[in-house]
Amino acid sequence: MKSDKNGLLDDRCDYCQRFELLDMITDALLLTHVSDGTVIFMNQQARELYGYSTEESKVLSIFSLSHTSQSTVVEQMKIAKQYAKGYSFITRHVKKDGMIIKVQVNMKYILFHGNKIFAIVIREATQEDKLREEFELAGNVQRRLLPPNMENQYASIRTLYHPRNYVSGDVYDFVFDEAEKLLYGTVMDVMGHGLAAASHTNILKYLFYQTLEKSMPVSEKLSWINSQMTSFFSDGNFAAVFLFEFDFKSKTLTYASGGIHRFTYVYENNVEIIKCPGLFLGIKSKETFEQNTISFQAGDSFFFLTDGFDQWNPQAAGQNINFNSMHETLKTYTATTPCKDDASGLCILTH
Amino acid sequence: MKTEVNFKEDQVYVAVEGSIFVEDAAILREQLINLIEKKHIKFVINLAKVDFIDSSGLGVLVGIQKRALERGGGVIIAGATGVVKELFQVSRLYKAFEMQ
Repeated sequence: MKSDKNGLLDDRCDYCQRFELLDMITDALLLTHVSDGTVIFMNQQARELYGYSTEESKVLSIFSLSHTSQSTVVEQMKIAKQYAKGYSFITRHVKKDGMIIKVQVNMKYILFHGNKIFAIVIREATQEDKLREEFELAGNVQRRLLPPNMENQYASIRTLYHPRNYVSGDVYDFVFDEAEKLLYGTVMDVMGHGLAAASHTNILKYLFYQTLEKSMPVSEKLSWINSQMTSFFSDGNFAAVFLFEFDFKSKTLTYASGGIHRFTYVYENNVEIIKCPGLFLGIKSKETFEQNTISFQAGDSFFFLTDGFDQWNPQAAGQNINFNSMHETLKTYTATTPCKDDASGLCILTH
Repeated sequence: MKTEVNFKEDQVYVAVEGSIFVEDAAILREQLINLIEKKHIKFVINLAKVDFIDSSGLGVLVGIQKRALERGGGVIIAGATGVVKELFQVSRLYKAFEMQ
């Protein structure tokens, strides 16, 4: 057998029985060079999947099998090299007869007879895989609909968004009114998880935007949202909603809460948990809510979080209590704590 | 989470023990809906041995209360202590249930 630049085809001859073993695998398997993606070996399942003979498979590469741009494949290969456990993704491949198929690919970077190669397991995407892809897409859309971090002369806002599974029932939003120097925002947590809860957040966000046009106190805006949403929430569904308004002219924060029971206020190296009782929204259509106002100074910070962060300890920042360190502990919290719930929030530093 | 169900006259006594997180809430919901489908409408749910309940668990209780009220019954929450009791207070959910 002819030798390729790395001597792998010789290996293939020497170890041909090992390759035969790979033909026994029920999944389609490819071994490719890392450098240019050319196929070293394609097992029987893969040949059947793509419709190539053994001889034909020798001139293929991962690029010719993929129905995505070369740069996308290069990016996938780059990511796969970073993940020791392999990189799994859904993509489109093309068969010999030109038919395009959606496939679940698991690409792993391994050492094979002293050479670095990709071992790639391919299977046609199942309905479940396709649904997962849809969920991922929905999650990306939801994330894009949330406002990003914001920085201006009045405040720095860091956002937190951690869905338990792809999409979240916990979201936030805010709008800054430059003319009035008002920052109006919300943190929302729809009971439950997944797509149903995420759909309900859209209703709440719509109602939140409606309140922008209403000239009424924050607590009345919350009551109005509650009265409007009750018809959309049936069978025990409800939501926790926290509404707030920073007035940077008077340096006051006014808030009302239905179901988000506290927030963290940090000032002059002190951490204070502010309790804000209130019935969840969607339970009683004519509920009224308390409204409170506190004064703040430049440098004070506020952490409005959903109950996915309930086990977060604001003191975890230790002696170094400041906006950045506390925001870091929140980011670490979601990365290190087993995720039982969606978690979202807003961290706001006043200037 | 563990539950124990007992019947006395026309009331169903449900004693819950442990923590009620998402998965537990789904189990509890199925149990309680099953009882409603069997025409039980008056519930006493004892949370004395519950040390934590998240919003999914509260959602189950609210949902069962709505169904029970629609059928002329209701849910009584009994024995809540500690953080669970505090949660009912701070969330004003005592307005939605009879508390014992």
